[in-house]
Amino acid sequence: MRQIVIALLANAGGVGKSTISTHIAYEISRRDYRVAMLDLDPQRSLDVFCGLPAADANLTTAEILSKDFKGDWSLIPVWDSKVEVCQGHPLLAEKANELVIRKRGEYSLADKLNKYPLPHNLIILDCPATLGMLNVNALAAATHILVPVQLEMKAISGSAELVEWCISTSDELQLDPRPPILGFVPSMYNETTAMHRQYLAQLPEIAERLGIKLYPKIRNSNEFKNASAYGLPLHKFRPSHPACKDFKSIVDDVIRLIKEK
Amino acid sequence: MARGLPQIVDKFKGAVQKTDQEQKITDLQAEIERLRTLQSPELETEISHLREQLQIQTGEIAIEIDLIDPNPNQPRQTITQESIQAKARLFKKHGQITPVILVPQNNGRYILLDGQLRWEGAKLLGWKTIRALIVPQPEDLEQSSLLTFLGFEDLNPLDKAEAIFKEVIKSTGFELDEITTSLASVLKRIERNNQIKELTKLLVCTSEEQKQGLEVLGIIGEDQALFSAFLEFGLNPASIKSNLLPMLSLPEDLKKSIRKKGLKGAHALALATLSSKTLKISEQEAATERIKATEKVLAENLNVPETRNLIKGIKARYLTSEKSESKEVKVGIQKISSSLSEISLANASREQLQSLHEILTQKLNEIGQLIE
Repeated sequence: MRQIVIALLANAGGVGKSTISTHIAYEISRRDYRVAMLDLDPQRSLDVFCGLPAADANLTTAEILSKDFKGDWSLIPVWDSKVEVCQGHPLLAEKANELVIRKRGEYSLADKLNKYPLPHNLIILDCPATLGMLNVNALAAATHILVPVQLEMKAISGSAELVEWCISTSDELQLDPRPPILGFVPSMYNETTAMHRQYLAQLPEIAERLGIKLYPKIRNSNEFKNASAYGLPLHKFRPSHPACKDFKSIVDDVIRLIKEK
Repeated sequence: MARGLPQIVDKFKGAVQKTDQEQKITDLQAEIERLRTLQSPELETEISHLREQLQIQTGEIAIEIDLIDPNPNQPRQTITQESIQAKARLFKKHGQITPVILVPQNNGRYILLDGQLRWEGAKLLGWKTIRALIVPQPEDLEQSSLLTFLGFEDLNPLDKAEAIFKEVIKSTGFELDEITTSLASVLKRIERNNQIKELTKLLVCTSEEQKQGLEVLGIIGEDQALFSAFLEFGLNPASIKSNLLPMLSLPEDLKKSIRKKGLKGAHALALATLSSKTLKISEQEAATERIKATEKVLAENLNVPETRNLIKGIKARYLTSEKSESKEVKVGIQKISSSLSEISLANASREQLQSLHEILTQKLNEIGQLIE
């Protein structure tokens, strides 16, 4: 068994990062593994998805990135499950600026996770939709990257840039081993949208050229929105909804990684 | 189906290219490792060949920061903490964009030919290595590094002046005061003859043409050697005289501010006019005024006209305070307050009051202008 740290990265907003984070977190926890989600987004999107009220800065990931963090993780259990969340805070944006001039600023999160290890089997880093210091920290701390790809031009361009960014940033940070991209996750897929169908058809060839796995699509459903309005994963909100099964392939892969020696 | 949408493959071109490049590098590294373990006889040649390829892949190599020595002849004397931090920030944000240029030494270490600020920035960030291009030892390290730096806008005018004069003294064998005199007298003549443009035109000419041009302008002998040296560096002697030469004679406090606090050349020259001579005070007092003014210029980020204004104000203060009390005015004040008492005013005629009002208004205006 080993601890897996997955960074959910995207270079465009609203492409389904938090939806994917929360649902794989919940599903993996139901298979009896401990999962921690760290919200690195100054917009604290996980608060909504987990139905949590805003937390004070000293109880959030902003504290983890501060110089004085001494391993006092603020984790809150959610959804009656083995998932725990460290919430985000708007101060994260400021913290990110501070990191720019701090020694080993890019490795702040990685260093904290090393020095004060969490007992969880899986740590999910939910990242903001920009390629700034917070995402550099996520990259340096991650064992694997997961890239949601919404099948629209702006989001796809962002994903392409993100792949380049991962390579050059890993290079600059001299990460060894480099966190591989676990896969592209086509997200918010709508069968009735011609663009989604066409671009989904083009993705396998691109993924193959890049040597990146392509996961089955996650469908777009209003029930995801309804569930998040209640701060619940779809599995709890509508257990029989077919979209609950869309995450299985990712979840299987992650569990395989956790079980690896 | 409606007409086809734009393809997304193109968007991934860069990503594919980068992935392939990475793959190639990994393969080459693996190949080096494989040969190492095989201990094959052609090992060394193979390895150096592969290394070369690796280098071509990336265009440059990573050199350990600890193996780099600063250039003892570095013309840039000024590395402010601020500029290092700024560079470090840029590195954080964009990574290292241009490699530093290094010259290998016999002891396995490297001398920095270009990239002092990048090197300092990398050290600040705790980087272990820095991307570098290795070049062979140039014939004259000092001159090469000067030439490398002359193009840099951010080399401050003081360092630039010192580096240039150092180099020119070395190459011509003149003393600094000889250079100053020659520059001044020749340029004065050229200006009088309205030939500055002709001199400036020589900047873009070949050495031979420069020589001929200087002769045409009547600049011969030792003067010619000096002017040739400046032109060689692509420097206009006229601007050297008006912009760089005065830098050398700046008072120490201003030199320090240029080097440590990033004070600009034009501001320094303006502030230098706050001298003991112009203010008619001691050197010590003048320095105090200058330092105070410099601090204000830096703190409030004043531009040159604003700086000149500030200086004008300071000068005015000293010049007005120099005018000591005037007896006539003193008497006048006494007279006005006694003869224009409330009672005498109350008893005065309307015409009298009107003309008094007129006179006083005019005087008030005059006084106001002097006080401002």
